[in-house]
Amino acid sequence: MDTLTFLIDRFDGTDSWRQRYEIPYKPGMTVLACLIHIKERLDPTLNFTASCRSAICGACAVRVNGHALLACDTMVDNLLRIWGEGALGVSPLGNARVVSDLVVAWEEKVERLRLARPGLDAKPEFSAQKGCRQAPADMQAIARQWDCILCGSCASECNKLTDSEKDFLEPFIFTHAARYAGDSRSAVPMRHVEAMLEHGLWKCVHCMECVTKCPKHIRPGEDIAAMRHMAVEAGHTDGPGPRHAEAFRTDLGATGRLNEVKLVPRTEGLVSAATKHLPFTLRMFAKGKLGVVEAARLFMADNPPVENIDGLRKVLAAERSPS
Amino acid sequence: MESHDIVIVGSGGAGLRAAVGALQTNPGLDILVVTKTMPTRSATCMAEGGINGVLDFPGQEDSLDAHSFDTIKGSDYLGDQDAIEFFVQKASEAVRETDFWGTPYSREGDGRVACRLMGGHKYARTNFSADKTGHILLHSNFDYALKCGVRFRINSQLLDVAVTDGVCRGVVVRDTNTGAVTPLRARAVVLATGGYTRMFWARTSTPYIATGDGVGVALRAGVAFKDPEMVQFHPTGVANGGVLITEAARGEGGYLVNKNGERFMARYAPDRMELAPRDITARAIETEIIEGRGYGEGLGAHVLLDLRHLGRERILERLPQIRHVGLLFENLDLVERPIPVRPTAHYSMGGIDVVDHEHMKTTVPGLFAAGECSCVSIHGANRLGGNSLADAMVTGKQAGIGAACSIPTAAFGGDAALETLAASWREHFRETTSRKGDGATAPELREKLAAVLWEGMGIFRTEEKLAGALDAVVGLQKEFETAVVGNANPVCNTAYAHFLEVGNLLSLARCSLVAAKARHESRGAHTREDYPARDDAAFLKHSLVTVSGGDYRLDYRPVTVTRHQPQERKY
Ligand SMILES: Cc1cc2nc3c(=O)[nH]c(=O)nc-3n(C[C@H](O)[C@H](O)[C@H](O)COP(=O)(O)OP(=O)(O)OC[C@H]3O[C@@H](n4cnc5c(N)ncnc54)[C@H](O)[C@@H]3O)c2cc1C
Ligand code: FES
Repeated sequence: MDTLTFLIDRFDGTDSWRQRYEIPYKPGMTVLACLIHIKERLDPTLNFTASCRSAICGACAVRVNGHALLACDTMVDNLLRIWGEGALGVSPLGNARVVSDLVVAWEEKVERLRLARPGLDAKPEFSAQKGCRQAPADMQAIARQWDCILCGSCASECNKLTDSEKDFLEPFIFTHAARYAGDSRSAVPMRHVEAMLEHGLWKCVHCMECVTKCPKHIRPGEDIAAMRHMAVEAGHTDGPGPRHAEAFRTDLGATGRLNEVKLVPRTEGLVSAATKHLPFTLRMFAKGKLGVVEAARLFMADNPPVENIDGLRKVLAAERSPS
Repeated sequence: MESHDIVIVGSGGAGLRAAVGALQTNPGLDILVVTKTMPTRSATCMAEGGINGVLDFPGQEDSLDAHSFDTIKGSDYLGDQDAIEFFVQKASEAVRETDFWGTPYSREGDGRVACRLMGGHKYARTNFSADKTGHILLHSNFDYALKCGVRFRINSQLLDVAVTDGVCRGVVVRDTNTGAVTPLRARAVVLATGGYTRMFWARTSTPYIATGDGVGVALRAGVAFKDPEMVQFHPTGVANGGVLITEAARGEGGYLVNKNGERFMARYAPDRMELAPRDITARAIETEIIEGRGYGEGLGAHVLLDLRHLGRERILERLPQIRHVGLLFENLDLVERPIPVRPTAHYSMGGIDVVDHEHMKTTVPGLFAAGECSCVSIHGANRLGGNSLADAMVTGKQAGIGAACSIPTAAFGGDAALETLAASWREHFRETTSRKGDGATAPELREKLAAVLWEGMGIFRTEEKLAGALDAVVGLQKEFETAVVGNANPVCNTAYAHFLEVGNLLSLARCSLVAAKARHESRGAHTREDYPARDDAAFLKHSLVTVSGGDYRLDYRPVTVTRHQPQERKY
């Protein structure tokens, strides 16, 4: 193959259109390298953001064929392996206000992040003069949540957020709350859980899009489950949140987590998984030929050890029916 | 006109720390952080190795004095010793303070913050969080700034600061999303805009946004660019593209190997081996390449960094990010194979001339600078690993305190000047974006600039090479006058944003060349083949370049020496 074809969703502040670009194919190119090639050599009006080019600043998340990923961290060769040699569609992240082309607004998301009440209030035995003490294992317990680079991928296909963002937050915001709620140095871990209770902690529908899309293998869905557990333990069993969740309360196992989160480790991120011989069903899903529920069902059938797919179906169904 | 007590420009470690420092000094102040990206896209997130600071614990052999001496020696005696003594004290405080605010450092078994040994340090004093220290520090500072109620104006590119009657009056910014150019009146301005390493566009470990905007803006406001010739080359950039393989890889025990399979550092720094300071290691690698002991040829030439003997487990635990970079840029797993490396432009030791290290003041009242865009000077001619995150935390905090302390005696003013500047920038957009014809583009110019500088002002410099590069840069500046943007839409015009950055880079590169050409000695990162020795009698002094009209003027200021007379720098 000599040529790569991209179909990019354009928006100039007034008009939207889809534009086709062709660039010479070279093995080992990242999606970002392709976007830069287009901007520098073909069309300076194309807008996207990038900063570090090494998967740590979170600037370059876009959707390729409907799936959020980091442009700098994704090899085109891997995408071609999943989707074949046709054109790759590039669009801005979902569940975000588009400023132009592939650029989405972060102003409102930064403001919403404040709702997690980020920042540590350390226990009284610690001080700014002396610092804290923490067991290595306690630090490890929050290390994954701290890997968040605020790229927005987890929110892009979040089904609950698409439904309404008024009573729910971007999954990364829950992860932010969880990293303080789970910090052994904190004097007030519940402060962050309570903040999340007010902003949809019980409204997550467990579609797990956040988990499959996170380029850093963070599991916001699990963080939500863990904070629900903390909330219940702390006696927050009343109110519309938990009542709304009554439908699937029975799914809470001994750990207080929903079983379907066990789905998580099996899907360590769509693109990386896909390149490691992803099951046929998920490939179909990737191609947009299957919906979430069907794909999940078939994926479960392919992978018998995962329990409680009915729970997942029920949750999804409940959330779809008007309440 | 929109007014704030303090406007802080930049949201890397330094800018965020400045905002919190100012608010903690006086919670009643109206403070705004302006930044050209979303806050956490800053270079700070890329730092991997760690942050220096001597901590107190039973059995500790290290001391503030030792940290101070290593920094002075590392700077090749171009660092100001009073500033360095102040810095090491505050660096130690910064680590404890950030720990208290939530930075999740890696831990030793007894629960204290974990540290590692980095090049040029006598003791292990580089505190870390796996190999993501900068990311962790940036995000915990961001979280803490949110907690303190810091307000942000994101996607706003600083265009200029306004100075009237010798006093800083505020800034003019451009909202990248809407194209609106807005004057912001302020009683104090802190520049924390990061380094200028992107002048080496294609050969740098730094992010696309490290374009030295703040230094360019300060130059236009009449503030000197101090030690602009001092750019650090990190010895180990990925051969393909310059992305960094952190020094932690060598700190953890990695080997540098040439094509004969030799650990060649034995020839250059027999005691420290791979842990010699960066400038020495970078020169060693380039020498191996020049003398034919590297792999490959031309720009593709490289040596190898071998980590295999560390074992899978240690690599996965301590160096996961580095392994990922290997996979992405060289398509290889360094658990199994050595990775091709070559020096890459990495850090700006020079920067905005700061004349008071306690409050990070510049020569213009009301204008402060912090972090990599500033030059105190702590790092002199060569920065030690782990000292720049500490610099961002320390100088950021001090600048915030300095700005807050200046408010009671600072008045608002200069409205007319601010409006005039804003109007001229609106006209600039109109004029440059309506240019037609076959002028050069900004991406073309920055690539040419990088090639000129790598050849002429790279690791080994000579009078002839520097003179040639200077002529070439003057030529590129000429080309820039008719360069085309190619997009006239005010909405989210990233092409115009990049165009402005290239303008800054060109003028900063010219400053660097002027100073490099005049420094007839070799010191730290500045290696003159024609003047191989350090010359303390003539050059124990900082270069200060100022620009007025088209004129680039070079002055000097003596280095402050307190306790340590310059000695030969050997490792
Ligand atoms: C790959 C890499 C690894 C590193 N590893 C280490 C390490 O292990 N230890 C260590 O101590 N140091 C390390 N460093 C250096 C260290 O990260 C930086 O020196 C330090 O973080 C600089 O912080 P800062 O706040 O000054 O600047 P930055 O983090 O660069 O922030 C600059 C800010 O200014 C904003 N800005 C720039 N221009 C404008 C403008 N025109 N208008 C508005 N806003 C603007 C940017 O958006 C950004 O928010 C490393 C650097 C790199 C690149
Ligand atoms: S450019 Fe920073 S994450 Fe991709």
